[in-house]
Amino acid sequence: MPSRISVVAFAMALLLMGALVWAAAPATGQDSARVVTFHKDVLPLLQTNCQSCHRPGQIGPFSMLTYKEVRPWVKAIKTAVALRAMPPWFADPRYGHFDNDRSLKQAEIDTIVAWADSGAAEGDSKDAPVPIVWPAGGWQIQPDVTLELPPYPVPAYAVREWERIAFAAPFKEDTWVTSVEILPGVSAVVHHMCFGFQTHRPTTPYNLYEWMEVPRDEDGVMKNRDGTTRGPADGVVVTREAGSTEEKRRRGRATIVHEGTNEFCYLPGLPYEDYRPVNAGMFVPAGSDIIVSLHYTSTGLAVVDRSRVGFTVAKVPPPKKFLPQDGPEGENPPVGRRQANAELAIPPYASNHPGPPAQITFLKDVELVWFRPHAHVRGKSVQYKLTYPDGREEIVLNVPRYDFNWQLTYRTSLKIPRGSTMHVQFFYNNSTANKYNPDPGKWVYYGGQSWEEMGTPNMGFLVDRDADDEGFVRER
Amino acid sequence: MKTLWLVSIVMLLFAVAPLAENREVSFRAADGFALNGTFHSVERGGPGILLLHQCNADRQIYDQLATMLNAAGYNVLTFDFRGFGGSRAGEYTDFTAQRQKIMERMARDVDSALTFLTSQSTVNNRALGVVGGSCGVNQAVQASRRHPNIRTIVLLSGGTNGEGEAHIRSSPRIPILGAASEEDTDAATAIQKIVGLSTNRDSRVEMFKDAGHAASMFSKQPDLQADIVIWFRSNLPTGGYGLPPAIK
Repeated sequence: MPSRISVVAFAMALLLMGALVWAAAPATGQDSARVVTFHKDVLPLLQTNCQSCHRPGQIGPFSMLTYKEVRPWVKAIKTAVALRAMPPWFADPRYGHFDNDRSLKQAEIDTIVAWADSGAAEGDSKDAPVPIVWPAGGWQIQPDVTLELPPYPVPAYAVREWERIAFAAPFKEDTWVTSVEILPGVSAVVHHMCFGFQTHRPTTPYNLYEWMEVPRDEDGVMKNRDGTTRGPADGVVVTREAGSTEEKRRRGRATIVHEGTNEFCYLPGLPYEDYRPVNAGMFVPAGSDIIVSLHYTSTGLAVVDRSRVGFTVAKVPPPKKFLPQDGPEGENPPVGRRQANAELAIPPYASNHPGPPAQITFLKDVELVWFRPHAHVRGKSVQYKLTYPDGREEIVLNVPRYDFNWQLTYRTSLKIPRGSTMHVQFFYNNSTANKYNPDPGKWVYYGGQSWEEMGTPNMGFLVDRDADDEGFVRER
Repeated sequence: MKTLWLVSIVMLLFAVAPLAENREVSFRAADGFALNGTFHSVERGGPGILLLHQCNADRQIYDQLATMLNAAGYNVLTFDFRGFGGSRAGEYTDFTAQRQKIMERMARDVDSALTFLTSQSTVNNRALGVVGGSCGVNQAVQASRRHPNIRTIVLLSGGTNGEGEAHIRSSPRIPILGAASEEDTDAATAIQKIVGLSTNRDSRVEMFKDAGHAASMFSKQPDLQADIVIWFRSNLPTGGYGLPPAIK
């Protein structure tokens, strides 16, 4: 039988060991015992990562401002973050570094999952962070200047070609635009809405929609397979006054010409363009026009789209100037692009068909800050591979699952020396496994409609504010 | 691949929420009988969803689901079958006593409801969905047989007849979400059979335990309503790019 002293000593030893184990336990061990609550743990994550879209008047289908609003969606939220489906982000994490990477950190995902799995407790509202004051009027940015586009009636059934319309820019003096948001009235019918600035020409009419008639077959497919979206420059020009339904036709060339590139765009899933994080802006000289490129898609329901554009402007010129490159094929400094779009022909039921690659040559040293790959509903994946002048290769962006409904901008900072080349490869899924494929049994060719395909490797660059655009272009 | 689809589904759920409102409505059945309902509209336009209630409840059982679907971008019509809720009048006041007479008219009442729904200016009548609970399950299946613009159906605790089964078997383009509770044995078996007949790759069953019958499951399985919204966002997109383009 053990003595009283030995029993006490044994008990004390146990207590001591227990105390040592407790003291040595990691902090996370202590946290795991605490109940994860909405107000203390989850709401801060929702504020930072979700509420910009999930609040009244925004694109999210339910609001995430309060516990009551969030509670019915706990399982859906858990699933979305655990699968990394939300927030939407498609860049392969193995390649590149992106300043606007919206994906959640694993610890943040773990918090949300733990909260959902432990009963989604509300907690004490005193633990909640201060509510964010969001911009009014449906904006994500707080615009300094806004522009309302004329109401655009989209018929229930029709093929709408790419149209242009010009307005006087809403700036009376030289202006640096630092962010832009395009808010479509009915996003379901907007395939794209892009614009650029251009010095006014006396021949450019205002408030007139203008487009080239594109010969199409009964399925709406372009008959002219020349690798363009508009067909020949000389053809039938169609015009319609804003606010009118009367269309006028004439033979000839379009009068609304935009020689630069589209500088800002709305695309499905693209939130807004913001150059403030990189201390940059887009210079708009006084007296410029806005040349808008519009593409609507009929869905079976006649609607009227009323889109708005909002701008923030710099009070003092920013140190850097942003230059987008989404223009046509050919030399367009600082890059030249070759891509045999006319050869794009995706066979019926092909599940991973490579498109004609884009080969981009860098004509001078540049800082590349922006990728925005564009394909349509059969787009499956895209990869940008950079080859330096010394032969070294680097995958700088890989998007293994392209999604037409989420056309994101991937912001980075890559110093690329002159003489480098970028190889951009899109793949397409024309099979029945592509849920959004309108007809797997059809050949698919290059064209501007969502049932045709594209594979455009848009990029953007930063240059010094005082860089002379004319000098830049003279490198041709 | 399955994960990718799930990711797609979830991503669709989290996009686009137009402005919405709801109003009480009344429309005539084929024989002139007034059917009463609630129409939740989407100001910017979108697909239409018809909710068919079970025979031990009325349309109010879908109040929350209708609100959630509407907030997610859908025009939603709930209505009371004759003899239920706000559609009790004349010779139709008691379902238990008039079961056969009411059931015989249900299909035409569903057609009238679809006619009303698709006549609304905000409804894209190329993009329709139906939810049916219990006795509404067969009505939902039969409606999809008669109306090719019904692109997906959600079936809660119920079965269909041979004609309905043949339709499901021959309709690979119609994805079906089924749900039931295990102890609700007959309904669970029937739902599993229907979904098992479907050749659509996305069709699936959610089976619960001790959850109750049809839409009554919502109270014990609150996530089911969110799951139904997710299902529609995946299979009846609110945007224009999940539907074939409307060019002619």
